[in-house]
Amino acid sequence: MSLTTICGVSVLRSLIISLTGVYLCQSLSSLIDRTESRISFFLWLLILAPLLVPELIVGYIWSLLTTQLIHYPALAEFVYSMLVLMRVVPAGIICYHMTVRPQISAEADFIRQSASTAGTAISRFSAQWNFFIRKTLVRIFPVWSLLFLLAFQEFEMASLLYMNSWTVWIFDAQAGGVPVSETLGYLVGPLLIEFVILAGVLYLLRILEQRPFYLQSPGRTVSRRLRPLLAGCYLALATGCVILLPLVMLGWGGLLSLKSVLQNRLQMMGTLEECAWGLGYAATSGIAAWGLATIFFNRNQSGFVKFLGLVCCVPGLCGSLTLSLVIASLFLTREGAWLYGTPVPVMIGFVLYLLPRAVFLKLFFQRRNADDALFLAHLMNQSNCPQQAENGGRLLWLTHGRMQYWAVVVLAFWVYWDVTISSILAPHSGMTSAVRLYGLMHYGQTSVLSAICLISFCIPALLGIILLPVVRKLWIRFSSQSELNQFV
Amino acid sequence: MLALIEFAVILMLGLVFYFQNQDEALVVYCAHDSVFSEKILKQFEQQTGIKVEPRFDTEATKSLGLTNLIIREKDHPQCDVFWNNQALGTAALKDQGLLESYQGPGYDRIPAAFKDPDGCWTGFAARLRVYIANTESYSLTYENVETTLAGQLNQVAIAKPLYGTTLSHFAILCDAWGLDRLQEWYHSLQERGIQVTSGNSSVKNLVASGACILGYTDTDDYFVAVDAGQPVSALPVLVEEKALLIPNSVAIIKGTKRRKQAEALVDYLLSAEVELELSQSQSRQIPLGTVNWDLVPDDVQKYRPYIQQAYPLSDLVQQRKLTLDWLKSEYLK
Repeated sequence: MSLTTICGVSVLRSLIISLTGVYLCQSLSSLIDRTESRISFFLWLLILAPLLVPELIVGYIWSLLTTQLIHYPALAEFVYSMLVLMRVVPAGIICYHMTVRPQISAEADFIRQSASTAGTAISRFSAQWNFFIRKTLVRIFPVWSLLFLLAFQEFEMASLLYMNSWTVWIFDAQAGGVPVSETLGYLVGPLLIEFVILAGVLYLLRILEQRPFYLQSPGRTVSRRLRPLLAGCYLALATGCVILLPLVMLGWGGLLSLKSVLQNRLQMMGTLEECAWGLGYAATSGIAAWGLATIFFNRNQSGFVKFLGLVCCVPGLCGSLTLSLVIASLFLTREGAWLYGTPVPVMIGFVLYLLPRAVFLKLFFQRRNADDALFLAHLMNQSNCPQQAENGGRLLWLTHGRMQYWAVVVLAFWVYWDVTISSILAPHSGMTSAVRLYGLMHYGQTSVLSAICLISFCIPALLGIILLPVVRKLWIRFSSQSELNQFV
Repeated sequence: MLALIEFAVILMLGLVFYFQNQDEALVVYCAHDSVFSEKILKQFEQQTGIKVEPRFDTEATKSLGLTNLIIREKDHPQCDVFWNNQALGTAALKDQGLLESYQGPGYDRIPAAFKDPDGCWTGFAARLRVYIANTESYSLTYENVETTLAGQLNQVAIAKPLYGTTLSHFAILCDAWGLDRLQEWYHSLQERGIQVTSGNSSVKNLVASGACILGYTDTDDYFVAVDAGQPVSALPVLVEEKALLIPNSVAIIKGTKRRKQAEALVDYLLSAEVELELSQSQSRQIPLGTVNWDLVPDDVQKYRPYIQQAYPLSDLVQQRKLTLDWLKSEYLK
């Protein structure tokens, strides 16, 4: 299949996945709205849990389960698309809840609906279109774009399940020894598609920045009866396919062989060292990507800097394989060779890989933050009275800091489980555990794989939870004057 | 936030200096499974006191990953010794002038069919290219294979020949048949619906699960299925009555600053001790040099006659290039 055809297939697939994903995000959102606050925490946990199961594990397990589907390509395509959908919806639901509020108040919408039957001006197509843009599109377009980009860039599951995708095509070209310069030529088409979508989101957000918002609860939506039912069915399916099945298949073997892995000093030390490297890369590049997104897309930043930020997002949109090959080529020139074989190329690779994702998260946060409340919290934080300042810090943490912490954790998580960038750019003695796991999967070392997987998964998860109160404390103490300035 | 970025930059700089100071270790690029090769490299470290810094290949980059990496790094070589899991890719590196010659004691114990006459690379511990069949639905004999391959092939699987040992297989066919016949044969397979998959392990999975009845794979993948208790059997693929033995290969990279340590590792890898260990590992590699065959497992011993009957690999670089160019035009339109 030619690259153009494969690109067409990838676009069509991503389109279907993203549109279905948006509908599911709306359904899940209405389910969350209906749920009591005590249960909604667990509901959130259930919705977001697929994000915590690495792509390579899901792909590996399903590649074993779907061998019979080789004779039914349409069914195999359906299974792959469903898996991608279940992997991207959690990211979509986060964005859906953080995205801008509709510009149409509930009252205005009620009036439109009442008046539309009377043949008034408000029932004309142009007026309906305006309502659609300000009420619906404003909320779903950024979510749709994110889901589209995530589905379009997917590589590891496509490779493991042997699906047609432009990312796999590029990989084959590289494996066949095509020079990097030629690969860049192949990338023009896919990159253009991604760039158009990203530019569309930025354009929409820019337009919306200049329009007024109404104070209203963003979450409450009038939902049809079927939606929660559909959301419930989806949740059950996603939990079963992406969490339970891989955990059952790997978990049992993992527990059985955990003892032998713990007793194998060489393997244990190797695993711990690789976990440490993975965590190091993940934490530093997650923080750096978030910081860069903050610098480039701060609301007071000039258009030129924002444009510069957009340009910096382009390498990350090329996909991890091409990005790492280009970076490797750059560090193999006379000027860059002294840094080759150090963690610098891999860190740069990860930061560039994360930047578009960080920008997305950043833009959503920016839209969500209530400026007046934040300003008051900052003022309180600057108070001479220590107790008031501490309370201000606490408020800042609740309104601002906590979300940033989890954003960095999600970014770090994406890095921690990445295989392609690590395997190409990481220094010889600084490989990550994900690379070792990938090798074990290939050679069917299921029991050892399960145990190492368990260890590799538990370490960052525990660290994320343990670090939360520490970061909270530091945040409250060091919330600075500089952040106040952007409101003045 | 800026403070944290600064912290990250400082940390990065620290690591740069740390890695720049670490230049005494022997850098080994290893395409053989890390599960088996890591232990052997550790043993070498313990025996000689030479520190080894391995870089393993992954399925994510296939075996061509490290070969291409060595080509990309030719102006700034990082690797001292290349332990490849096949030989033709290494031979292609010699063609580009990227290997140094070394004919130590290990070189002498390997038969001529599996080594470069100039000593730029040496093969050891081989895999065999085999037909793999599901014993529940297929009786694996050469007659049955011939009948099956003459009909519809939607129950037969092969890995994409752009990389790995399937590329070596195709290069051998190109040598034996000529490119035109190879092209005709592969097009015929495709027209009759052969299932082309991502790799040899996928072929093994398809056959072991019963999704396909027959496939082309290597002995190491076949033994993974055997160890998992799956219903499979294997039969060597023969071309012109010769078996396709795909050895590991080892070579010293041109420009190495640690030549003595590199030679020590090459000698160690080409020793009978390592060949025996690889034959006893889960991947059951077939020893090519002289070893005590009593210590070799039975399921490897049965392949011993094929060492004499193997297709010679020492002069197939041109065929590999021809095949790869054709396959690129097929797959990368």
